[in-house]
Amino acid sequence: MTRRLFFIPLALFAAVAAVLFWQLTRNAEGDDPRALESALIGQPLPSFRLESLMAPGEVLDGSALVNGKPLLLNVWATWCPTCRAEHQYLNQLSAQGVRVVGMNYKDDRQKAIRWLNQLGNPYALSLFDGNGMLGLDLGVYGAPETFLIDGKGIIRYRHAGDMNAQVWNNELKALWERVSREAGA
Amino acid sequence: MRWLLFIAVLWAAGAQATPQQTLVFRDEAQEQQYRQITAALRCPKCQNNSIADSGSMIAADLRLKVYQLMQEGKTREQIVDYMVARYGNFVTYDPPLTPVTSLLWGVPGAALLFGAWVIVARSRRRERGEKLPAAGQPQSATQGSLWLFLPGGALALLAAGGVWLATNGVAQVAAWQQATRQTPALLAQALDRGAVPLSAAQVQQLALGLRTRLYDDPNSVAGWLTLGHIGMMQGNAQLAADAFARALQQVPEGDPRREAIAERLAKAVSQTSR
Repeated sequence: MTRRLFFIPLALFAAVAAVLFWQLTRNAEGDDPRALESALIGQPLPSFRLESLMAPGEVLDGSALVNGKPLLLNVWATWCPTCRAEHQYLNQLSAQGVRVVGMNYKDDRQKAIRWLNQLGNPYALSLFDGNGMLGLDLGVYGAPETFLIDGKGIIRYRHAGDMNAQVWNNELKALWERVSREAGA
Repeated sequence: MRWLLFIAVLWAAGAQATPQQTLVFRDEAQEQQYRQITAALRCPKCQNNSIADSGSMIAADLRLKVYQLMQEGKTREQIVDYMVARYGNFVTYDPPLTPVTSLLWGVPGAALLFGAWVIVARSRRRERGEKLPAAGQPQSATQGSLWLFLPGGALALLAAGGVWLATNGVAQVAAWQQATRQTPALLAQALDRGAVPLSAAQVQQLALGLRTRLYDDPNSVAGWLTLGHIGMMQGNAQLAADAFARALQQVPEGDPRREAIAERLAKAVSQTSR
């Protein structure tokens, strides 16, 4: 009986080591331990009034985004190299019929418009958040970040980092399809 | 030309400090409160800094927001709640007690109690055992005990080997060595205008090989220029700016090449993140 008790520390150690090892391999496969969970999952999109990127003076609010159909809200800026890396993939998604709304974050309007003219414009709608205050309300802590917002305007998912085929297929595609079905029903 | 050089020198000196906005406080106490609140909020981007310490963009935004909320008359709790609602409990250095965080408090105590119980139970049993007359088989338990270590030792070796196999960097080192070997060929292909343009993967390989070469021979102006060029091709303005700055350092004052390099540096710098 006592002898068996001696194995408890060993078993505990093995369990802790297994958990740490599991996380280590996930990190090796690209799971970024610095990525934070969004505090806004399940919450409605914060209310905002922002200018359109293309037409200064044209003010948009939440009703321009939420129209019963789901959308991806992509936070981007020209000063962010990763945004350039993901841009072609956003173009592809947009071409596949995914509604992508861009939020240009703490950026220079002219540079941003030039960027879209050069690299293609995947955005059905472009917001201009020059001082980053909608970004703050969304808990954005860097660019790029992509939010999946359902037809009722509820934030369902947030991906921090670049969007690519792997992220889309593994993290977002199934949810996007489900949310689209919900919107259709 | 002169101002280009000036910008380049400023940049190379790392003088990237953005002008700090001067905040005006009502009194000493309010300023003190501002310092306390910003020191108690964690920067979401840079992890182990408070927003008071961090120079990152998001920290500056959050500091400004704290200031604004204070001017609106919000209390410390309200400001912290405001940040937690947006950035989660991560953002505060004083997270609340939730089912998950209660584990942090509970497990050490539970382990301590369990250990105490084991010690007490063992000593009680020994006392009882001493009062009883000596039972049979007093020695057989220790016999062959050395062999008991064998499976444990083998298991430890096996586990260590497995962890090493799963986490070692042999593959990365091999890829790096291959990149170093292929650098001359790739470089020739990149410089030859008639040849097939390099694929993105090849450009990446070339950049890796080139950086290795420059590590061995940091005085090569042509090497730094090529690396800068690759940086621009990859859309990595930071890499390009670093490389052009290094190239500029190698070229003596008065050299006609300086102007062209400084121009490229200024262009790269203008494309880096702020």
